[in-house]
Amino acid sequence: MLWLTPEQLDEIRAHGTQGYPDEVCGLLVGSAYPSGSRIVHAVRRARNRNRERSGDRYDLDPVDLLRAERAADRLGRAIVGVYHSHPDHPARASETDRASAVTVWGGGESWSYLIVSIERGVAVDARSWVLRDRVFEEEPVRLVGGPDAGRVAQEAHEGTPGPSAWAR
Amino acid sequence: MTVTVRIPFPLRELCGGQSSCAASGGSLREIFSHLDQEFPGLKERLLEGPEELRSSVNVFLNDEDVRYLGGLDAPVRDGDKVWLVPAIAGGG
Repeated sequence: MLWLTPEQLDEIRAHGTQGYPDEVCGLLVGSAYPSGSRIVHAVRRARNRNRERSGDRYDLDPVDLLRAERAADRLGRAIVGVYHSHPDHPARASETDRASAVTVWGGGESWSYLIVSIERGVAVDARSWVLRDRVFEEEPVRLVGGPDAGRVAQEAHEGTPGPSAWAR
Repeated sequence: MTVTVRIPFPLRELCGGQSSCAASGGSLREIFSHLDQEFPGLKERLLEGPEELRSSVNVFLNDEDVRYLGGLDAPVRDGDKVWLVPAIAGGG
């Protein structure tokens, strides 16, 4: 499950809208927990290096990723996911998304892949996906903020031990 | 030479859950060999065969992409930091 604040999701939608009709991408910095929950603490925009097919492809600039990793490291956080937009296309992980993710993560655990659908310049949907056995499965996205944030953190800690337990 | 290698969180299951680990060697190749001894399975996620970095990962030595520093032959110094940065792409 991916936990975001409404403001963070608004920022991602705004990025997708501003970038339309091109695809945009960015990173989700936060914490991952044994339950499988990922809590996003910050959203960072990144550059799409794919100029030739910027309307339906993205290639996240590795230098932006390095900077985000450094920032996360300083704060004791981790990059827990990536987001990108699908201009005039549903917020479903495509075969291109899947094939690329499998080359990175193999059959193991993956980041969260949050996709925002932008239809005619308007953000209409956002869904998140994680790899399970080399196939993308949708993961629930929950919006939370303010006084609920503490409860969210508590729930996220209440999980069975797993690899994500170690991500901070 | 001892360097610190920062591990992306999904790959930490291969490294005993650590977010970073220390490794010794005089070059990146030796660093990866050291890692392979301690954490079997990690090296094959990084290398295509014995000699080539996978295109699915970018390796930075401090601030520099190692592809511009000699690849696996890039020399390392004490205290360097190695960043494993996944190559993230896709599209709808």
